[in-house]
Amino acid sequence: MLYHVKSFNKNGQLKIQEMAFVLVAILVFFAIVALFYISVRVQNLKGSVEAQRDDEAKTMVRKLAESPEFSLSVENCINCVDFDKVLMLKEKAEYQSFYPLDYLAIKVIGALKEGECTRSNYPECESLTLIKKKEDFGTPIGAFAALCRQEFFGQDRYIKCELGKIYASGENIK
Amino acid sequence: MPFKVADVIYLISKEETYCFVNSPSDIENELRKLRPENINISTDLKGCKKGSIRVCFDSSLCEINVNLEAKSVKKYGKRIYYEDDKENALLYGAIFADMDIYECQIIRLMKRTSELASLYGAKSISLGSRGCNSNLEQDLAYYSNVTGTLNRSNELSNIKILSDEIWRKNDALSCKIF
Repeated sequence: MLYHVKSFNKNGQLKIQEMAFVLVAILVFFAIVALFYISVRVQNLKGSVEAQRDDEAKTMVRKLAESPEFSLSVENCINCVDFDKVLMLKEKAEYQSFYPLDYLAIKVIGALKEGECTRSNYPECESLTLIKKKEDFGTPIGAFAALCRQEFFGQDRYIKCELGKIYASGENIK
Repeated sequence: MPFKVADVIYLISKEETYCFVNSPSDIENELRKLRPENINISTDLKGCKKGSIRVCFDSSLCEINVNLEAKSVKKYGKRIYYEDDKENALLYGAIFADMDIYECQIIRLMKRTSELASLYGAKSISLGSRGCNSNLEQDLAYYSNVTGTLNRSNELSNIKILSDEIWRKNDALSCKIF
């Protein structure tokens, strides 16, 4: 009789242990599933936040291109930058604090010659840095724009536009 | 202005209702298209809702009286001035804005005009050295000086004369500056 009781206790204990293991396994499984779900959600959230910030920065750069100081007013051209005017803007100290940016530059895509644009080498140059308040300005956000300038061919005058990119960085662009 | 200076945005309180009495056809058409909830158009004072701010264009019986000939807006005993081309950008500003804010914004706009004129002057010199003479440098320098030193909206009429002159000169150029 005593033997039977003992055997019964052992079986019961084994079953309780089994049940406990199964419960732990189920808990671990759900924990893993939950972790996986959370990590996927966080990744998606990060992605959408980055995309939103990128869009905002691009909108800001495009707005800049459409401002009277940048825009080409000669022709009715959307998102066209008057490169002749912006070259002069670089020499105006007043505009250094006008834009709330640490860095603002324009780069000509596919320029034949390298180097910073000045009155002496313009338009055969690659980049025009308008604002550079500090060396560590972070990673600038860029948006494409048409860089237009007055060109001359003998007596003929025409507007020539090239592909360019406006880069901006600052505390307001995060 | 001979060139674009800025975009003007008007914010009107939802609590205030305006009633435009006998407004010119361009303003009337614009408002009919925009359909602002708190701006009504009427042909006489009786047609205005009670409590609304009445804006008169042909009499001085309203809270706000516009003199289209003198290009001025009189409200609460004070007069402010505007100058516009086809669009009524500054007229709306003069009607809706607080008088001190309007005067301040006019000074700000003129300061920006001054900087832009100076920028176009520099562009004109730069293009001149590359074979594109506009001879607008002196006009733009003077224009920059006048707009930069404007103190009150009543000086806008002088600026309008200069603006039109510069616009005409630039428009006649084969190598336009703006």
